[in-house]
Amino acid sequence: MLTDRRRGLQRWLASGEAFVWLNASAIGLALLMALGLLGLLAVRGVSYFWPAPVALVGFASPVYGTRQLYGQPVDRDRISLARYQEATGRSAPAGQANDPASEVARVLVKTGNRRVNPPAFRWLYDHEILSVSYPADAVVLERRQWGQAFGAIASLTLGDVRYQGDAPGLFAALDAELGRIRALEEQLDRLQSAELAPLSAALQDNRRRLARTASEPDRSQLLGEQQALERHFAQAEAQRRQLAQLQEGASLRLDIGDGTSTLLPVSQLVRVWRPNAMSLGDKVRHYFQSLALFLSSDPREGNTEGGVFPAIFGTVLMVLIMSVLVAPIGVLAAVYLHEYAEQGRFVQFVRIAVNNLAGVPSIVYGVFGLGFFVYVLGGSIDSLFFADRQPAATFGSPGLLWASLTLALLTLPVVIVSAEEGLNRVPRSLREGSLALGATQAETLFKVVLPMASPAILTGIILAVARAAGEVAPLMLVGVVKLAPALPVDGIFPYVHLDQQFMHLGFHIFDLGFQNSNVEASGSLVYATALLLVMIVLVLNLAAMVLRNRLEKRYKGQEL
Amino acid sequence: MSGTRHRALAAGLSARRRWVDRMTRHLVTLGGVGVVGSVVVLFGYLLSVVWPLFEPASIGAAQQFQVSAGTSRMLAFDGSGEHLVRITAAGSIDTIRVSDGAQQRSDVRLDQVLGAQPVAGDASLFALRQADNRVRFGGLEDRAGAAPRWRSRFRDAAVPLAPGLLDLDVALEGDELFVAQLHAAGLRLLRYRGAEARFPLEAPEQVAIALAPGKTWVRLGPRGRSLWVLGPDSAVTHFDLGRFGQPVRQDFDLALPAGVSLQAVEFLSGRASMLLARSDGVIEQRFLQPGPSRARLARVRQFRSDTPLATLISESRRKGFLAIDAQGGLRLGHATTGQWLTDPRQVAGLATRREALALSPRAGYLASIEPGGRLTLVALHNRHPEVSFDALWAAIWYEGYPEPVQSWQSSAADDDFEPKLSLAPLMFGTLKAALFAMCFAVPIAVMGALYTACFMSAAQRAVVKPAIEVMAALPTVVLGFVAGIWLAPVVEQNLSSVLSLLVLLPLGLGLCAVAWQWLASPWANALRGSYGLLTIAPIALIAAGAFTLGPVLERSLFAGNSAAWLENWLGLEFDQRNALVVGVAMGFAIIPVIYSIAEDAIYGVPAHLANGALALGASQWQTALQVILPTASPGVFSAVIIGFGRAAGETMIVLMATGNTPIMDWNLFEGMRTLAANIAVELPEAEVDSSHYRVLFLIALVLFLLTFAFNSLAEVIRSRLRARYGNL
Repeated sequence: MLTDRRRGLQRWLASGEAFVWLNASAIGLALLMALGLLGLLAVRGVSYFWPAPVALVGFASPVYGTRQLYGQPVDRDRISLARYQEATGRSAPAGQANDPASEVARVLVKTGNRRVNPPAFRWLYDHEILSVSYPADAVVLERRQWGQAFGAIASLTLGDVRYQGDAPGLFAALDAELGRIRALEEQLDRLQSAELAPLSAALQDNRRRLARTASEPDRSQLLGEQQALERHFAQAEAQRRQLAQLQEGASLRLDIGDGTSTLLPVSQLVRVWRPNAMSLGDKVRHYFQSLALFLSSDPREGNTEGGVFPAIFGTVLMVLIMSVLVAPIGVLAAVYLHEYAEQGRFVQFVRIAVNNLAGVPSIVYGVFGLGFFVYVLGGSIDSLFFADRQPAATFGSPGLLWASLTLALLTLPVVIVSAEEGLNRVPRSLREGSLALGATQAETLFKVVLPMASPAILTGIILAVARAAGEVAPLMLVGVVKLAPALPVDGIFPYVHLDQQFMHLGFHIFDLGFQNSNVEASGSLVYATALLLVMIVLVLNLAAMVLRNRLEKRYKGQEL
Repeated sequence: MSGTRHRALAAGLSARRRWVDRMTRHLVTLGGVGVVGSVVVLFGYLLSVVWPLFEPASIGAAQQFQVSAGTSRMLAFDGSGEHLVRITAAGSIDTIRVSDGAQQRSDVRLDQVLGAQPVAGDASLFALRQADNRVRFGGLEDRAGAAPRWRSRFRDAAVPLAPGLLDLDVALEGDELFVAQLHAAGLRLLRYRGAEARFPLEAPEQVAIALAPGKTWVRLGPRGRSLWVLGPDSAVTHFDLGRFGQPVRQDFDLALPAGVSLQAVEFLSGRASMLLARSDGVIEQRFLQPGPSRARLARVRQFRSDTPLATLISESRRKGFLAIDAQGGLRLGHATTGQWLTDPRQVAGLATRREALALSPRAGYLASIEPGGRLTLVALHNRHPEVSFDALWAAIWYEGYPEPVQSWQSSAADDDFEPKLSLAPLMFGTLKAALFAMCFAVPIAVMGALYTACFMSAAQRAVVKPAIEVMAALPTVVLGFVAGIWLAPVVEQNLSSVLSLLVLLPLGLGLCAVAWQWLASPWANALRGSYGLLTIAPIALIAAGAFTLGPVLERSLFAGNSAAWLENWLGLEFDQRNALVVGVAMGFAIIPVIYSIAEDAIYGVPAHLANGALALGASQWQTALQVILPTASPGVFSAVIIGFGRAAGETMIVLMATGNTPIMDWNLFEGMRTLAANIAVELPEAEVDSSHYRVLFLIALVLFLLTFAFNSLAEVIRSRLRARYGNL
């Protein structure tokens, strides 16, 4: 009996089907977490641009008083009465037993109107809410400052014309006015980049030259130029003021609930929409419009509003410069290790060292970049070529070039390893055939080996780019900033400003999530940015993977 | 492709082709060697920045200058350390350039000076005791590139002194000027409020305290809030001046050995701790430690020397000091590290006949003057005294602490701060984060790898393996962001659910596994390769169950608030951003790393081994566990090592998912600060070439060596394994 049972257990353990299942569940768990992460980013990031309805909420809250406000419900949850009492210091709501373990439901409402009626987010407990309605005339105003405003338009004044809130032509007139302001804005941007910025750069340059020049005839010539430039600048500046003046004039009175209203200049508005009155088609159109604005406009309000264009631009430019640096060097090193070096202990050691470099923490590269590139190399460049600007640092402070160089060093092992793998796959017979036909080693390399290995090299570069696009830790030390005043590329010589600091998607996420006070407000925007970054990195990786698979197939038939 | 054979082949080529070939060879070799060189530069540069930390301090050559004769009352360096100021008994003020000893006499001429001393709290202010038994003040005005100018302060205000003065201490704290006088009958303490250099002093507040005779020194404590009176014997009197008019007296006993007396008393920068030079050659450091009932004045550390050190000078901005014995032997020490930095060195001109001494602000020079105007300047090389092996790793008794601790606190607002540069809490945080991450990641990654390599169907494996490997490419900033902004609040709000999930998940999966074997064994062979993805369903069900059970548990067991319950009943602090969150997030980041390498190792086990086992009648599971896994175990081990290295160096996740407080506590619900995160937080603000900056580079070097060593070990193991597979 007993031995029978023991034998049964032994057989049970031997078959081990349960353990196999347990191991399988580990894979399930890993995949579930990965999918969950991507799902979270996708849902939060994608839904951010959807025009959510605006409610008119009446409530009686001991914290926010008894009032009626416009707002969007953002989040719901239930907390225990114990936590409710800890958070509010109040006793149980009427009609609820004083049991610390019972629950209280609450809703997070984004009430916007941060300037006239803070805070922008409020937790309202369900028992405090008196009424909820979704009036069709509720509007969302996206402003240049102070974030979104919610309310109903009481009146619109365009010069001499005045529309009441229920006038039929109000929204058409408002849209036309916003279009006019946008057109003026574009003119202003053009003026800034084509005239004002180059002029101010020229003025600064001239001033520096003037400070250096001692001889009288040169000085007077420079002084003449200076005056001409200043005249020019004053003209452009006057033009700018005139354009800015043209944007003003229209104003809008917004009813923000409670029977109070506030006056807003239309020039402060970016967009206006009525989510409760939109059809599905309108909403879809609005959605894609918001998405386009997110990708193409500058950030506002300490990066919590607006778009991420400078961050995308900075990331792409940095990665491009890095690729230009890392690709030839990495390929050169791989060719050396595989084609030219005597295969011995030394090369084996170098190969292991290169492999291990890939595992060195990225922050270490950042430390090296700051110490060596910025302070040693940059400091020497400054004292050699920019002595007239000192003590202000030009290349001696973190900037685009140093960030790109640091990341090039960081991704070098990736490129070397991939390229060597590609060279390894090129059949030896092809090389020998080429040499036998009289080609030199260089000709064999350029005409036979490298073309065949090029997909692998490309794979390596793509992987390097993907790694660099997502890397933040070293960049924090060598050149990324929260908010760069200008793009590192513009119309002023030398057009690409390698010494400037720049914005970066990854750092944008770090900064928004952790150094910003208005985390709730930016919450969803960060998810959108994070989703964008993840998409870029995943697409690059998938591309590399597809390329590598093709490559494997391509060489399968060629082994002789 | 040997080079010689190739050159022979190329012999008959046109010159241009040969040139291209040669140039390519040179270029490629140059590039390859350059890359190798850059690795060496990387390591070498980090080392070159770190190296000066460990250069021993030294006492350099002494220079001698002859300046004008006259009895010197005081020597002092100006703020830049480029000039010396001398005040003579006759009342003349000379500035002396340190580089060449050039002397310049000021137009200002004072009345006869009996004594002069620097005012604590303001490096450029001096108190002069004059023949009318009053103290007047003067200061140095630094001028860029030129000798500093002497200026009278407080509009020549004169502070009257008690008759029979034994010792005097003057301190300026903000706008309060304290003058403490020890005279034959006791103490007299003056406080001038609203003291500003440009205006005369107002009427002082005054406290007089009668003391038994036999005291030698009076010293003001930090911020003018306390007063010390010492004599050559063991008795020390301390007055707490928290309320100025009512000093609270406390007496301490130094318990000096019989026959030993005090020879000198010197306060360290910041005046929180004192150095006492004993006649038996020992220097004691003591400071007040707040005790449970009354404060103690414990002997914190001792510096021993063969000869009595009669003179002590402390540095103005660091916790270093300099001691001189009766024969002119000079020695540098540092209080934090508790070490002599140099051996004693005899310097001519420092013997007993000196009239005044001064130490330059960064302890670059010691100046001494003898009667007749013979000035000796001793160069001191002592750039990073606060760093030593002990300071970086051992527990150090810092000023104001009740006991020795290992602490990282690198900077503070004021100059008198004692930097605490122990790497132990950072190393601890790194290990804590990495270990929690490994606890989470290793089981999942290794079990997943075993299933994928041994059981999964080829079609599924072709999808699942790349899918998990792509996870490795997810930017860690996104993982850190999700961990900090989403996961941490979720864990905090649903702590009981998360904790029950930690228990229920392994338990529930185990039950599911057993149930699977009983229910599905007839179809096991058919399904084994493809149910990997199907296990998602029970996992999701268990998670849903845990999140339903959690609130019930919280209500019934933890009084509605698990975090508060943890703090009240278990005494566990709860931070929102804690080790649990880091463990999960970083574990998630290293799963693909470990999985990929481990799977390669397991998959690479030669098939005939498995076939042999199966042919002998072993089940698939027995084969996997007893044949394949042991064979591949070195590869799995190296995967775990590489995963650990990755976790130890990861920056963004820890930076964003913990509070970055450098504490040493294994509590799962508290945060930590890791080596890598510490660099990211502090390096942008560190002053270039300061000790702090170099220590941060040292941390980078430690991380570099640590991961390099780990990876090399893993690489060696893997290459041996590959060789073994080849032989099997």
